[in-house]
Amino acid sequence: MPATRFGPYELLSPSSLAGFVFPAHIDRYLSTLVGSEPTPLDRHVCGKIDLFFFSVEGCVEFHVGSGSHDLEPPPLVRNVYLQSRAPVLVAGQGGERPIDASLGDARPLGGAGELPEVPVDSVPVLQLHAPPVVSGASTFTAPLAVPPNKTPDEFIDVGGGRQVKYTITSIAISPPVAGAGPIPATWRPGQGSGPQGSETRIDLALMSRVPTPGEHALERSHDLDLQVEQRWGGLCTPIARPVCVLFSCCGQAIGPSGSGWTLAGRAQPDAPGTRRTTPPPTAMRVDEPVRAAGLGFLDILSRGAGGPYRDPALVLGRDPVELDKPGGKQGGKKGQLPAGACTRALQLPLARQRRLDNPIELDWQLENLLQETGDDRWITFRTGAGNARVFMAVDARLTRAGGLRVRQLDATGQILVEEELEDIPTLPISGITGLPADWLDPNGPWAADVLPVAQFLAEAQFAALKKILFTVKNQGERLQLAIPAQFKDYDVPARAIVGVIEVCPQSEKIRWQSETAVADGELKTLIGYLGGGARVPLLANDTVYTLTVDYDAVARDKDGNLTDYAGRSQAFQFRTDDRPPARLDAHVYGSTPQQGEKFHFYEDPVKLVFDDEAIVRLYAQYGKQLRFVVRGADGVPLPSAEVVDLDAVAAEFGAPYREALLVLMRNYPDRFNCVGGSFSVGRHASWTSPVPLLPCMHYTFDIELDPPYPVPPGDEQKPVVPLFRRSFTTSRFASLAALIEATRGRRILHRALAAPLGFTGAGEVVLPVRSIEEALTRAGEQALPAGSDTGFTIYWVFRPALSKWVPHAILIDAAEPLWRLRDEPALEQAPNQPDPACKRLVPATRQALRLAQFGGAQIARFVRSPAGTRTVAVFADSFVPAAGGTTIEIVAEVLPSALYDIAADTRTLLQLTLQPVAPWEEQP
Amino acid sequence: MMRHVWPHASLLHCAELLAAHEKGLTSETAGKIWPEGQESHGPAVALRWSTHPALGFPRRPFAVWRRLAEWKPDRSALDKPKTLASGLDELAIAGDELYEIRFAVTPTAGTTLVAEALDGHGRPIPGQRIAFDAAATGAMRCPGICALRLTGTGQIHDLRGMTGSSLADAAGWQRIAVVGLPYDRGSLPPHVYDTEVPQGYEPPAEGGYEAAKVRLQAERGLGLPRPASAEAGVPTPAGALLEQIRLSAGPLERITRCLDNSVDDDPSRRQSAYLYEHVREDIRQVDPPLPSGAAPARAGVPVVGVTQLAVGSDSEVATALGYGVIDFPPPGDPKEDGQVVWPPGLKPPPHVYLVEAVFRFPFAGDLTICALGQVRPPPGAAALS
Repeated sequence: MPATRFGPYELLSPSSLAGFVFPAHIDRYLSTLVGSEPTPLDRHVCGKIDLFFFSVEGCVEFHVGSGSHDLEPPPLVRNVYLQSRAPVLVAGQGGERPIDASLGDARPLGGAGELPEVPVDSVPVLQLHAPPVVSGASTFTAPLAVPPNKTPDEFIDVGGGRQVKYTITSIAISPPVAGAGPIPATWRPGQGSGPQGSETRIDLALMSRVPTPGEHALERSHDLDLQVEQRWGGLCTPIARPVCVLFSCCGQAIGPSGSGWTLAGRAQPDAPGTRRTTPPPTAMRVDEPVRAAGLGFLDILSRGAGGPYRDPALVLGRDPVELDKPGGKQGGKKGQLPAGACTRALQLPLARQRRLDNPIELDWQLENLLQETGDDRWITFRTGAGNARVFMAVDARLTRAGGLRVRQLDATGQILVEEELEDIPTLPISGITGLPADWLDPNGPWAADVLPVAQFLAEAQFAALKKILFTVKNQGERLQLAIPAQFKDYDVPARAIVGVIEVCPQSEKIRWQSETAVADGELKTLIGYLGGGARVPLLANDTVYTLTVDYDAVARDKDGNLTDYAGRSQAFQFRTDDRPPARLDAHVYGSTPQQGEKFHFYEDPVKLVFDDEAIVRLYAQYGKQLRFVVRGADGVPLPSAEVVDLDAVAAEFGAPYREALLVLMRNYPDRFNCVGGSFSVGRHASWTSPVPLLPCMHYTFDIELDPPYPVPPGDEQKPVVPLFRRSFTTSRFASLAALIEATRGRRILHRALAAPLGFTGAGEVVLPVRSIEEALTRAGEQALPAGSDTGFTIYWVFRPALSKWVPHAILIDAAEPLWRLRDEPALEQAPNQPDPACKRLVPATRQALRLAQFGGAQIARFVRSPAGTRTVAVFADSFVPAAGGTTIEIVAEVLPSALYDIAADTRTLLQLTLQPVAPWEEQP
Repeated sequence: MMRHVWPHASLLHCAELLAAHEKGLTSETAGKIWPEGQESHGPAVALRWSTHPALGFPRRPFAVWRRLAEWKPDRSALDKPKTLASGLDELAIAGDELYEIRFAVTPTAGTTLVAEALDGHGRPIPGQRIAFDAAATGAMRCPGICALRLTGTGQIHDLRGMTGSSLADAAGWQRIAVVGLPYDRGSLPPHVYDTEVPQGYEPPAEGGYEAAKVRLQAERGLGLPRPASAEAGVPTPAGALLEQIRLSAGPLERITRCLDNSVDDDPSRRQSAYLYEHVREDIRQVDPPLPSGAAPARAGVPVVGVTQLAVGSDSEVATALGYGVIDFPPPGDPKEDGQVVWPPGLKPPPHVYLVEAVFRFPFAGDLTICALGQVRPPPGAAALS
């Protein structure tokens, strides 16, 4: 056996367990405890051999570790960390802050070490050990939603059969944080976290509506889609109503057990289109009396001597012999319950005596000891609280006074309510007559379990027993059926046989209420996340904050005993910094003109688009403004402007998590029909410079801090780095219209080429200027001067097949580019990723201005130079002007941009009518 | 002392080693044990027994007995033929539990009638099932039979049985071995375990350890499966198992502690309540670091239960600890009163076996508890139970 590591324990030697008899069982049975360390571990490691007439069992009691099981509940707050708020959208845009990552852990009050210093827009995140109860909590935030991984009864397992429930009474921050509206707080469950998950931890993000710790950091991917789907996919699916579970002994081995049974129940199916996070309790433990160690000989001896003894509780049943099979073998395929496996019922222990030919005379003390063991003819069903319907066959004597008792027990086995069967209303059952209709419904889930039992109990061997059905409103956790010790029946044992129990557990109602509350909370969380609300306030700068969480805890041991740990408190501290970010680049999504632009129309606006509007508020929180300062190459002072009054711009791309959620909502609208409203991926914030520009001027604009921080002594000569900078040059034209207007009246030349130009491709084809010139030269054109000014040349070629000249291309030379680009991020497939859904937003350029043919498709391609000043519009080879002439119109198109609020615009650059004959062939 | 047949507390399983016999291993092995012994043997019979943990260990060795099987019924449940018309009938037999039953059945023409032996809880005893397609006499041999269930239609008559108690006290038993724990002679005081009782094949003359070695030698000579050793492909050398059992803190020492620290006639100090504390310092919590020796692992081992688990699941351990032995019977020739049908695969050997030991009980003193041999059904033949 290799060294095995399990939780906080380690088997140091491969042969450590060699001294035990069944080491293979160790791994299966050992489990770790969660909680304060050192932690003890106690387990029973059991082996059992069934020898049919009796069984051999040995349970090794295994204890490792020190400490006590009576550990206090672990602290609710495991940690408080400060999360970086960096709404970076574009890859590589990250600045001095990490994206969504921790900036440091808050220091427990009174703890050692430096306080973490964080920006004022940081998000304090409470990392909790378990989902707490929050109803009635007093917090500095809006009322908290129900944690999404809340368990139905609000207790969580901490190992060793112990459970803990936490109740937050208060969350406070000092000094207070003021906001225009309720301050949000949002639950962030971990991956795999849920009422049934092993992960019970959960984070509470204060001053944030973001329900995930990685809104921006997570890449667009299939995994992210799954993560979003897992949490939100069933948001509007109704919660399954409480169901009942029917238990029978179907599949149980016939005979005694010695250690009780675990019955597998069958639950009513949930209504179609509903969901649940916790399955119905379909496993029910059945306890039976077990003799104390050392007293196991009592029944063996007395039975062997012919005296009274306890016949243990046992499963009755019969596996029917299929007479049509060779040898009368029993049926049943591998992996399936054999036919008749549900012909089972559970009989309570009997007081029996078998008359022997030569009984042994027993000492009276033995009989006394048997008597002292007393009330030991019972079986206990761990039904949980709720209504239970019991179908059983009982000896008529047990239905009278002093007969069978029905006990409601708490989780520790204490009797809460005890009634005699005689006092409980019962329905007589005959065969299947009298059984509930839903038990027998052939289309229901239970008929296959109930019918074999009813038929079995209707057999002649049970003819003397009364078949009854009764209901118990169980207030406890267990239901016990017991034959009292005073009931004497050695000669003819009184039999009590349980056929079927239907349980409608209270836990299902609690589960339904809990899951409904969680669903409501999740709906509010989603709407808050997507829809936003009042601005989230920022922390004050240069301030020490103390975050205090007050809570109560209750521990529940495996026997159900509760221990209160009320009035607990945990406090954490952190400090905010006193300076805003030194650079703005990480917050600027785009600008126009782009860096290095050389022909910016001087009347076109200068715009800055920020990731979101929070950046201005961030600087304001530090008492600073953002000031736009532009400087021209002529040195003439220009007015500066404060960057305020930002315009909202609908974003094309947002945080990957948000995008994935919106895609899910768009693809499955019926699954989000409870949400209502429409949501966007987000909004950028745009600012437009009011400063007028001059033509043909080089400019630099900066965003500067206002007022600036004083220059430290000795740093006077060091350059001052602005928050953000762009440089560009203006066009000689005020606008595209002006550029087009300047082309009016230019001469149009017609020239014959010796051969076609040979350009290939379609649409826009970019070739070096040299390549274009070489193509023209090869076709017979003379060397061209640089296109210093706009001009148009129509090239004709002779088509031998037509025996005529036809228009082949139009050369367009311009003083400034007629093809232009602008900065706008775009999605690209992440490199080296097998997941096709793995995409990232990267800096990119998009077409801003281009040439196109308007009203026709005679031009097959536009071949242009990289600078965009020279363009050859090449006609399709099949183009021949119509007899009356064909009008060709080439336009300059401004492509719209929502990001920069630029509308589409189309201006005619050239319009002419080409005749079917070349100009030089025309008749004079 | 009267023998008490308690299937609910003591079982003896028998298996003829036919394959070994066909290979000639029976005589070869017997020849090594008894160089001057008998020349002719029937197939050797492996005997393994178990006792309910509540009984504890006997403080003297077991005695193993053999006799030729003989049908001597002392019970009759049917005075006249019974017609089976309902399709399902159970015929209970009062008084002592039966060891063997025989009955004559006549199925309705063209049908099958299935007979099953039931125990005291009404459960079919594994393997004890016969399907009749024609009139025949069925026979079943197994301790603990309390009733007969018949599925099908037809007629049954002449249902008779032989109780285990009558067979146990019948004449003709021949002791074949004394088998006990592998203690050296004189190594323990008699109130703990009577090591002075000679052990071994009849006539017994050896100490427990030497007798155990002979038992293991017999077992290995017949080629019974042996446990793997630590080295792959290398069988555990003879005697190694015994040495392991006798290691310090090993199974035999635990048994000694149990016997020494329990009082059989005191209900509060019975062997089955004794826990041996096993401390392992090499299993401990590693986080946080604890000083060496701190907080070691402790296991409370119920010695009787754990030993019975080992005995019941490991053939060699059973032999070594005195819960098994190989018999080398003479060729048998049991007389049969007519042609009887046995359950498939369960035709019993010509001899029957009995193992007995004295156990002490509170309020009842010493009782001789014995088990009569039963043949286990072959794998797959057992009924679902």
